[in-house]
Amino acid sequence: MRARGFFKGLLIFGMVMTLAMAGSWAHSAEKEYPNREIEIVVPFSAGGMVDLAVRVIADELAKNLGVPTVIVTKAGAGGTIGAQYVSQAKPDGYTLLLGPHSLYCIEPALQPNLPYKTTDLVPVARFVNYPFVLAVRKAAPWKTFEELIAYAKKTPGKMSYASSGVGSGSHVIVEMLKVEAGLDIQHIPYKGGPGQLVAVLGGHSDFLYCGLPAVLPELRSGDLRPLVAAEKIPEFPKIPTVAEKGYPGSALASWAAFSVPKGTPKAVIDKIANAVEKAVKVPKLAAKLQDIGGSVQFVAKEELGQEIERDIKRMTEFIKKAKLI
Amino acid sequence: MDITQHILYGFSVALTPENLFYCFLGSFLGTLIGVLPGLGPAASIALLLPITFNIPATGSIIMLAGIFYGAQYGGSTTSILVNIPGEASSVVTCYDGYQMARQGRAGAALGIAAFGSFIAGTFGTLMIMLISPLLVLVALKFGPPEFVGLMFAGLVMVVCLSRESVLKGLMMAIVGIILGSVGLDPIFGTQRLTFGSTTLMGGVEIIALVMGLFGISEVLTNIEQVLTQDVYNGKIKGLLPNKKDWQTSAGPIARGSILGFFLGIIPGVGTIVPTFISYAMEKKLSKHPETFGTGAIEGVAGPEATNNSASSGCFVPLLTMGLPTNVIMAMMVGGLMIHGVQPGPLLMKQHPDVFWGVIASMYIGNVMLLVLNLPLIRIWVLILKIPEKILFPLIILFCIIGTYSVNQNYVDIITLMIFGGLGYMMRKLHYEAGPLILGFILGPMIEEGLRQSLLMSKGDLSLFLSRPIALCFLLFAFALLISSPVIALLKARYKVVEMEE
Repeated sequence: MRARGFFKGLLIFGMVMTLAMAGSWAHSAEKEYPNREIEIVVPFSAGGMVDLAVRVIADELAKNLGVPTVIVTKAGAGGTIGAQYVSQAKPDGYTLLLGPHSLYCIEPALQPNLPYKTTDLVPVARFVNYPFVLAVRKAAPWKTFEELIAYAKKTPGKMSYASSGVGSGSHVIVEMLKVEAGLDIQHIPYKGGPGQLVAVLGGHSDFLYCGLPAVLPELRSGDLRPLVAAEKIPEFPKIPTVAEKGYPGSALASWAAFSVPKGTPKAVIDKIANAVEKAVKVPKLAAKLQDIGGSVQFVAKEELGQEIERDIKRMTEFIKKAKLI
Repeated sequence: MDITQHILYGFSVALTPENLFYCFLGSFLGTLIGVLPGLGPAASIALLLPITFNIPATGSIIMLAGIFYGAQYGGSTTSILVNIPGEASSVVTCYDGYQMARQGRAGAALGIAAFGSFIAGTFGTLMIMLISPLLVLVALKFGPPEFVGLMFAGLVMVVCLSRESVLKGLMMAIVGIILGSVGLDPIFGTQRLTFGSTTLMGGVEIIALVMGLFGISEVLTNIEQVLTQDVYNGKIKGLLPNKKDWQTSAGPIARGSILGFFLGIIPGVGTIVPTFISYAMEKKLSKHPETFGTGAIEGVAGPEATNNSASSGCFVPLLTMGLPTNVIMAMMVGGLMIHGVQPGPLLMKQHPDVFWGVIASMYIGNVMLLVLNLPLIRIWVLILKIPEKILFPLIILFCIIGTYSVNQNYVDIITLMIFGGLGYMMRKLHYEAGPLILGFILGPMIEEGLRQSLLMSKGDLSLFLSRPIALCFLLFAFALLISSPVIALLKARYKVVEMEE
């Protein structure tokens, strides 16, 4: 009996050892990147603008890179939870972060104690641009941007605007407008895009100034009236731009960009950037992005890195000037 | 007329073999997800969303919707059978449902839950069909002050929830509020009670909290006792509710359906809070409030109806304005947009097949779920016969898997275990977890709403007096608060007068 037990044990030991060694074999076989699925971390809850953008492009990327792409949602804290996760991941190119402009450029300026350094994330490529549009509800008395500004000047502190949260693009851009035009408007942060939309539609706040995708259905149906936009929007050519109206400084970009943890090899970064570039050239993809309110814009690697650095500086200065923290 | 034409069109869309299949798949998966403790519709829909990109828009929404309201059906099963909620919205069903099971009436409890859910779900779908556009106008009227009023009234109802000491209930509610404040300040974004942890910056995960306090602690409590299987063996009387059950439950189901639906249409309310309110309401309105907590069927019928009609209500802002009321609806928005269908005010006009097809399939889905769930009662009841040494580890396993499935974050598992232990201690010391959950959910909502309201009025509290809906709720809450002591006082004085005569 004891002998049988002994052999059983030996057999199991042998099996476990074989499996363990098989595991290490898989690692030592250094195939070319990429040779297994790539994880794309989306630091916002499903259904948002970032999530939509990634789902549109994920399949194309998978095609171009030859491996499946898996989307992982790690929402919370303005996107910083997901960002921290990626900054600590292995820099082998199998974990990507897809984040919006606010995560890369505004959060570092706003939050002094981020659990990661901005240099821990290396930007790879950004591919979609969302224009910002200022809108009021259908029943609101202001038909043009001038009327809104005039009313705001007449009633300092009485008007309020809805944002999708402290530190979001929809918050900072209005603060920029307030500084440039010398206005006193109360900021009311709501929970996310839907929250701010409900607030304006229900008349609880006077206007919002946010990315196009969040308000596109209401703009198309007429429930929201657009007064001005940060840049020209092809679908609504009649909307004037802030530059035309004399406030060129209150323009903000909103885009979505991929980044990888620091230390990822340059060759890997190049491969990912090329895959993204190829993907955005596909007309169907561009059309889908346009449908949800975005336009294709490809900026990558060093250029993107410099852009982000410049923007962080701009945001830090502005936040200090406007005393937002 | 107009509506009949539309709904017939909708049925023609929903009754295609393709969409029927998706409806069935969704309902079935939803029930399964609901039954398994910890695993919830949010995580599952997030996982299944990419698969839906390859099927047409109508089919994908039908399936996802089926998962969502199917989960509300299934959640009550484990609540009744093993006192562990399958969903956070089934917490309240544990109170009386489990007691009924211990009295051998598991079948009746499961049956009334299934029927109640069916009636409520059908009612909700009917309402969507008939008066959605009007409802949205009402829902939009809910700004921060109204929210504060409503949530505050809900919090006051915590008093009615406590089965034992009201003081202990209030204590737990406050602990819940403190736990709810962990994370980022809603207005300024400063960190509160996060102790430097990035995960805690997002707050305590509610699934971890609920599963720990109700699931893990239940298992721990039971391991301590020596349970004899005879309690359940052979004492299973009728598998369906009898006539008396129906009579008692008719009112709660009706009230629950209406309450759940109208609360569900308000963005941000969700399906959990209405069930608590329904339970408290039934307890207040019952002629025998002391039976609540010992196996009163109203305590199962009301909340179960509520969570199903609330899940129907959640769809109203989505289908009419493209406004998501919770995370799951937001995912559906995403799903629709990927298919090129813009959810929004024009959905009904531009994609009537999606709009009416989804509504028609909700009717079909409710029928399917009833048909699925009734015969399954027999099988679920058999779960009670599984020996604990197999059942309890399985339950713990599902709780862990379910909790991990939400954020793939192991910190949530630590939370689960901490609250499991805490929940166990609470049970031993007779502190209730229900008020804690209510405080945890409502506290942050009230705080955010209150601060937003004060920002709107620049610090002027009289804002609440000038907004009729908010004022109504606050007065109601106040009346509720003082009603118990006032009534007791009046009774005492009346008794004195009687004695003197």
